[in-house]
Amino acid sequence: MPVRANDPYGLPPPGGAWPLSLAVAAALLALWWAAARFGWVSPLFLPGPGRVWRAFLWLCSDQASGGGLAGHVLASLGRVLAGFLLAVAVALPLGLAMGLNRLVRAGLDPLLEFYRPLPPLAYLPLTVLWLGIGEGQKVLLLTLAMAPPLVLAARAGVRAVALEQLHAAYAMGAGRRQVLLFVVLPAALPDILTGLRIALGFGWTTLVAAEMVAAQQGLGQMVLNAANFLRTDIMMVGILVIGLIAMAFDGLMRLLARRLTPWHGKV
Amino acid sequence: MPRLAVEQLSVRYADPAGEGPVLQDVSFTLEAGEIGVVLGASGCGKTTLLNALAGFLPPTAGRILLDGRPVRGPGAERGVVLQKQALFPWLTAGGNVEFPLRLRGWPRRKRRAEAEAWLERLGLAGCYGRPLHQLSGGMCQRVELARALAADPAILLLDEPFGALDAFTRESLQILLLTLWRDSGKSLFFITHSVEEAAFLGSEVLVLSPRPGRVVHHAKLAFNRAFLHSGDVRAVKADPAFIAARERLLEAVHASQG
Ligand SMILES: Nc1ncnc2c1ncn2[C@@H]1O[C@H](COP(=O)(O)OP(=O)(O)OP(=O)(O)O)[C@@H](O)[C@H]1O
Ligand SMILES: [Mg+2]
Repeated sequence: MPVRANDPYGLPPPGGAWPLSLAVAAALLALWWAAARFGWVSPLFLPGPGRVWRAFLWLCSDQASGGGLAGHVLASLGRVLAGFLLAVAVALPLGLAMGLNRLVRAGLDPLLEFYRPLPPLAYLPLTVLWLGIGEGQKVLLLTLAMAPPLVLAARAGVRAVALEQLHAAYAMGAGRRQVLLFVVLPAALPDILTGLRIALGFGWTTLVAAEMVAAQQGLGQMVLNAANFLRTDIMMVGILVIGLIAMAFDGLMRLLARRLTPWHGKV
Repeated sequence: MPRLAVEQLSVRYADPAGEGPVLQDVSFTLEAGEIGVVLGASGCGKTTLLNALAGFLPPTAGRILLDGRPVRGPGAERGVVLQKQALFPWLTAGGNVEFPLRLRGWPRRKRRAEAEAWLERLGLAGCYGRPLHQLSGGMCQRVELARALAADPAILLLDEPFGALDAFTRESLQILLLTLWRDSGKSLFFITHSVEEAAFLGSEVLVLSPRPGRVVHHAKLAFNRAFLHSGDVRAVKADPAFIAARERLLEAVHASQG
């Protein structure tokens, strides 16, 4: 039997077993269907798959208000991506600086450790006070939620480089700038990509909070609004769509990591 | 003027594992185009000495002169092949070899040609685009050699570069190193804990004692040139003169252990 080259002995086996993943998902779906079909749970608490599907179709039709589901998706996507880009632009340089410079690290570490565990809902009213109820406030909240994992990842990434690699580079005549650009950053890339992935996840986690105050559109707003009218089916559509989009983004990020750092974990 | 002159070098770590300095009053010189070998048991301070020569570790006392100029910090004129692997896994074999040329701003095509030439000289023709994780340990070691040589240093410092290899691969790389030495005329500073390797490669062999590291024995040998002249490793290594020199070094190592 041929040996699978990418399955080194002792390492936790990579990849998964998609038939099993699919089977578990199908079983859960069947359970959900049965719970609704045989009336184990009132449809107010848990509408069946059929009902949720019909709500989904209705949201996609033009009878739905505010551009329908597509409008909500686009609004939320825009906010999350804007917050993400802003977080990347601010947090990555900060994290790198913290990793590289002792003084920057000493200065920013207490601040970061204080604000990192705060729940976004706690500082939500503050963002409203500062920026009002427009788009800026929503993007700011998302940025604040996504920044910490990015800072931590960049900071840890800087430490991923081996002393020997730095020494070798200096002994080939590299200057500090070149070492940073050609050695430290490439070595940090796997950690940074993991940070980007986690940050995006945090963005989706915070979406509903971000759209709590005076949003006209957005998946989070859709769920909150549906809750006011006890439209559990629409809430479920919102939750499922948020989950699926987040999953798709995570898959994309993983693909990106595989393309950019195929060497990671192999040497 | 010697290529390398080490004068009364002492090194003491700030947080020493044992007591006292790791290196004490180490002095020696190495002429240009020669191979200096440092032989010593594990832990006697060989890597410490190399780090000081490379400029990674400031001496506690004493001086290191390269072509008469004191060494301050690392520089491209002192290349290194370190004991621990130091290749860049995000680059291919070729990308690693052309790294020093990239630092110097060589245009892409020119540095690729140079890297391919070096890979070929080290028996790695066609490996330019191979990722490192597909290469064997011996191949990686050759890539490190190629990279260090491509940087064109005045002296190449090697820290047990063949320590992790089997006897056959090791011997073939010793031969390769001597050939490269002859063709390039470079000065080499080579660390090893193998007595035979020291006797075979060294023009000058220094035996280092452990704790504190001092030079306790110094031998001038010429088996490297004898090999290049005859091209017959077995004849050189089986020569009674070689065996006698090897035994003297071994004795010196044993004596240094106290
Ligand atoms: N950074 C350090 N701080 C404190 N002590 C150190 C440090 N590096 C090495 N030492 C000590 O210095 C001594 C010499 O270490 P060194 O690495 O130079 O030995 P070596 O001769 O290269 O050994 P080996 O053949 O095993 O590589 C050892 O006793 C080690 O514990
Ligand atoms: Mg060592």
